[in-house]
Amino acid sequence: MRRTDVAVAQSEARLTQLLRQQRILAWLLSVFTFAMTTGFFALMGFGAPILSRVAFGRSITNANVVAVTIILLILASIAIFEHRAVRIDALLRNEARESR
Amino acid sequence: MKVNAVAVGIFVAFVLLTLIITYWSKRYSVGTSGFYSAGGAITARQNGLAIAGDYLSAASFLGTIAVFFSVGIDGLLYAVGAVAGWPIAMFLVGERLRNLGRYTFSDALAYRLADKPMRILAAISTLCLCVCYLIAQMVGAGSLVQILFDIPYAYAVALVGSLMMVYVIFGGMLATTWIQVVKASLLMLTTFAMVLLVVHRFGLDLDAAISAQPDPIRFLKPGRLVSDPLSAISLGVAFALGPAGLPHVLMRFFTVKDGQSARRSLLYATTIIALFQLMVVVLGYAAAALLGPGPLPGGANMAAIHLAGALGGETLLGVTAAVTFATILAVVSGLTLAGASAVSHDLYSHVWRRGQAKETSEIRVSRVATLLLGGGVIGLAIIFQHENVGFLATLPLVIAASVNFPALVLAMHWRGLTTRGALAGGLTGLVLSVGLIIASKKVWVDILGHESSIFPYEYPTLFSLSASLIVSFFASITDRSQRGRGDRQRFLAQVARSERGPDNPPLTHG
Repeated sequence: MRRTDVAVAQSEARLTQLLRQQRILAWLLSVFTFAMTTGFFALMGFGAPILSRVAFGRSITNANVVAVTIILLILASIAIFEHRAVRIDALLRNEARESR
Repeated sequence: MKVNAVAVGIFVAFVLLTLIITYWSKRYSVGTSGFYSAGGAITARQNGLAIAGDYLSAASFLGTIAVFFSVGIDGLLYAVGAVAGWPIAMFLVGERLRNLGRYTFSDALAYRLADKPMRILAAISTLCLCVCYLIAQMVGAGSLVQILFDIPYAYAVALVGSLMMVYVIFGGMLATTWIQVVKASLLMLTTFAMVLLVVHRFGLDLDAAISAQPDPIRFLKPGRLVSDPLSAISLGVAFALGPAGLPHVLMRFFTVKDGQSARRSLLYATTIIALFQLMVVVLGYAAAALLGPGPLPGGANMAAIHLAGALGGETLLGVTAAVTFATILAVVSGLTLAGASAVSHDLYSHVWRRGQAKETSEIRVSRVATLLLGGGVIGLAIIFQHENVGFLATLPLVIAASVNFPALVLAMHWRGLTTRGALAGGLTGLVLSVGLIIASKKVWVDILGHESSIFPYEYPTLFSLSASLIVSFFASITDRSQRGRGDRQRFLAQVARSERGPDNPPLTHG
């Protein structure tokens, strides 16, 4: 069954909105990743005393904790981005199917 | 040095396997699509492994563990840096690049900007980057093979170079991709096995690493790897933005069927690289604990190999050495393919033949370029044998972050960028990256023998990237030419294509 023009327009509007949100998310996450990385490098370069403070046992310092946290946050950010992108993929597939 | 039979055995097995892969790939590497992009037949998971393999070079494996061993906690900089660039490549570049291009990243640059200048700029930066990277890798490979197999350095370099040319000339992208997949799997498995042995020996207690240190406080104090904060930030910028501008990695986005698969490839690649780096941190601590504070045979860069020996005896040492060698071999193949493609696809087909070259002649040019590039790099690696080529390993990331990254991201995300802006910004980034590295202590003092350096910092990315962006911006906004207007007008159509792919044109552009 073919969709009506109204349904097509609604779907297109939804897709446009999702693409815009995804673009904003991409930049926010990129700036966040960039800031975390360069911030960490700057602190390490300064030899910030807080980073050499021991957090666990005798060998795990705050630097280790921050480094692992950054890596885990990066993994979380790509998961969030992919999760939202999958919704756009589904809409794009529908659009392509309809236009054939 | 005694020849390690296990290393030789695994090395020979790996080479045989890669030659079989190349023979099998040959029949599928037909036409430009088969040669440059494996016909788009690679799955996202395979491509993710191959991208991770491209980035997890010997420098990443040997270098990070060596920093932990010799400098201490600063090894974390390499571990975090190696992961940081991939999400940015995924968010801003991956899917869009696949939707806009065919074989090389310059296809996407030339989508709305002028074809000829963009391809010349992309080819120059690709060749500079690939040659520097190749020399650094080949010098490392030559030294490793020379030590492990007890053969002269020149033969070792010629062997590595010849294998790399065979893979590219006969197998094209399909062979180099599968070689990367095999190598990345081997590297992950070897690293995982080493981590298991570390846990078996120490449990989850890394305090032994500290106990073995003569000065534990010094081991845990950051700030010894990079001497000043500005250089540290510059290194961070190169790590964060460089991966999205590495041509041999960008080429991999075209080996999958569509933009979504390219994005998913980066999801897998980031996850694999992150897991690898977390394991390398454990190995870095273990190296500091088990290898003691004294100097190592072969230098600190051999810490990972000696650690393998300390954990699993001669067998694991042999396995690790062979896998490290496989790593170098796979990476140089990818780099050679990227360099050859820049010559054949960008310079020959699009600039010289104005897009009218026959597929057969384009591939022939690519194979000749592979031979010339391979031969040239073998010669240069022999000449540079006794030189400190550490700066050549740094330069590719700096060029990628200062030339390719700003050009690509501005072209895809900023309507105002014109051909004039991209060209001026790109050339500024390239000249400053190379010039400031030469003027830095690593080259100006350590190699050229001057008393003091002209450029006071170790890494120039902060300056070269900023200059590239500023010049791109001003050269674009002051561009009132007809061509500039056309560049801007085509932006919306490009955005639609880059976000939706070729099959989903929007109902309206607005």
